[in-house]
Amino acid sequence: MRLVPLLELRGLSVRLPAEPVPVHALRGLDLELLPGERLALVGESGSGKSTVLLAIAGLLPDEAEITGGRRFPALGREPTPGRDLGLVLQDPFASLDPVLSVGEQIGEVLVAHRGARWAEARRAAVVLLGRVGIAEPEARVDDPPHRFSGGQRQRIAIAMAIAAGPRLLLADEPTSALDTVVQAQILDLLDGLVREQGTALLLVTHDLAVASRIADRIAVLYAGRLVESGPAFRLLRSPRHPYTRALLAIARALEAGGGEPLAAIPGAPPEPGAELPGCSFAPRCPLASARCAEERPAWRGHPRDGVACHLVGS
Amino acid sequence: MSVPPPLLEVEGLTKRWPGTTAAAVADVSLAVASGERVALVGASGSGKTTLARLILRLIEPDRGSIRFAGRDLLALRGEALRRVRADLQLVFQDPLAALDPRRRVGAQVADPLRAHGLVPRTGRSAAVTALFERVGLDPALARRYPHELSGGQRQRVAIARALASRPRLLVLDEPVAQLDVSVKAQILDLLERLRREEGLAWLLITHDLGAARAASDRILVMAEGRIVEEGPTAAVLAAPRAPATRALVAAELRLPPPPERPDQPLTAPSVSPRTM
Repeated sequence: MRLVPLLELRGLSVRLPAEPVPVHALRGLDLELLPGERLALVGESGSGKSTVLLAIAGLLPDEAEITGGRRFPALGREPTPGRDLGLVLQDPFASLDPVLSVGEQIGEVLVAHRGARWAEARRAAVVLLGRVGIAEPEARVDDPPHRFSGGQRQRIAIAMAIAAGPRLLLADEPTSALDTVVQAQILDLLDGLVREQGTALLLVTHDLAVASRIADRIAVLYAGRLVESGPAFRLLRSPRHPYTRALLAIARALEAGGGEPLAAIPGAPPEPGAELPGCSFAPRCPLASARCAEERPAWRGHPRDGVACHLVGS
Repeated sequence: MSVPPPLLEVEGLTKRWPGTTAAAVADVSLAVASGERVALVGASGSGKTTLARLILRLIEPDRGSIRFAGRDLLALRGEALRRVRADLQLVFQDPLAALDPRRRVGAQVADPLRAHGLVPRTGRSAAVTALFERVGLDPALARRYPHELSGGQRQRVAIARALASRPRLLVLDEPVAQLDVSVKAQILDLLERLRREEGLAWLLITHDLGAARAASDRILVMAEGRIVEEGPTAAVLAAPRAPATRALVAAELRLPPPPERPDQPLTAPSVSPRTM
């Protein structure tokens, strides 16, 4: 029996008006997420990874031109942000109101989406603060966000995002503003919460090490297209796409040390408005042939475990 | 002994912020030799940023001494301090905050050339072009404003500006923390190339053990305002002793080990190549 996906993106393209040329942020993205699955979408600045999250949450600006579709088959209806979808951003200040107490902000989610009364909502907020690891939550529930450290604020933002028990949690670089020790704690917290609740997680990051800590499956995005996706253990052990291989080689060199140059990928991703006929990575790929520059590689393999590269056999 | 004096020598440096009980930096001593790569690591709040600001004399210590190239930095004033500052440059974590948003980046790279009187007015444009090329930037980008550049390009501009006065020591404050992994590798490789070419030394302040491994030979670990462990970077990170070092190493996100026999490398098309 095939599981009904929670989320399905089919040929999703997003073009955002910009000067001097529109930004083609996503260029025909197919992606599927099963209930309870934890997927990391890995890409660098400008790859379109944050646009994917905004598109899923229905938060793209009105002037965005969107083609292709997003569906929520397991939900059977359009999701309500806050209730069906939780959102955690890189900067917790972006999701927290500086004036209201953290208890009011968490409580508001429960009042709005779960029909709670304020007295219950406040009690539930105390429980949620405890679950995300805030010590002495009864004493802290009436404090405003600035009384908390950066790591604690991210915990509070996570409490808000999970308060209504969403089916899907979207997280955009949730730990990249935090130091190493706090980063690991927040990833472990997210990991524990989504496992307990059976929540699906779509985590966007530029860092394969972050992805490897939390994801069942990893999808690699480059210049608005998927270049590879697969189970985390497969992709991290035997990456197929030259871009995935290069990213992993850098990450492993940073882990190993030893003073060798890091074999950085030369050059930069294409300008966001550029239209390349072939593979977008070809200009930086050490293995590219003339074909790579001329002809766009088709997806090879399974939709959930495959690669878009002329050099890889299917 | 005929050992040359260290380039930077800090002794007993202490700074307590008003209204706090524990010192942010407590009796810290360290040295950086010419051409040496030293990392200063620690969690948020360990005091590493305060220490960097003390060394750069952006804030004044309560106690202690800082010697740079044999001179007492805390006693220097006016022109003498300005001349030492040319030798001691800072690269920030966030180049967008360090660069003036209203001025073209080329003009900002030229600022130290003017301030330190290093290049006559007529030669400045050529000197800026040369600096851009040294850090791997297209000189045509000199006419852009900071927001018109990518994060990696902005950090290259900040490095070019720091190099303009031909410094001997760079204080690198989380120079790659906000960059993508691929851009991070480019910037770390660039810094290493420049160090070899220019004989630079640096003090790299970071919480990122990967950056410390790639860009330091010796490591200092800070916790609660003190240096709690020190030694060769590879040895300290392989067998950490101090609890703070152990916590940093334990928290580092690591990839699963690679397979023992890696896949065949991709060297040629494994599907039939199209005849061209």
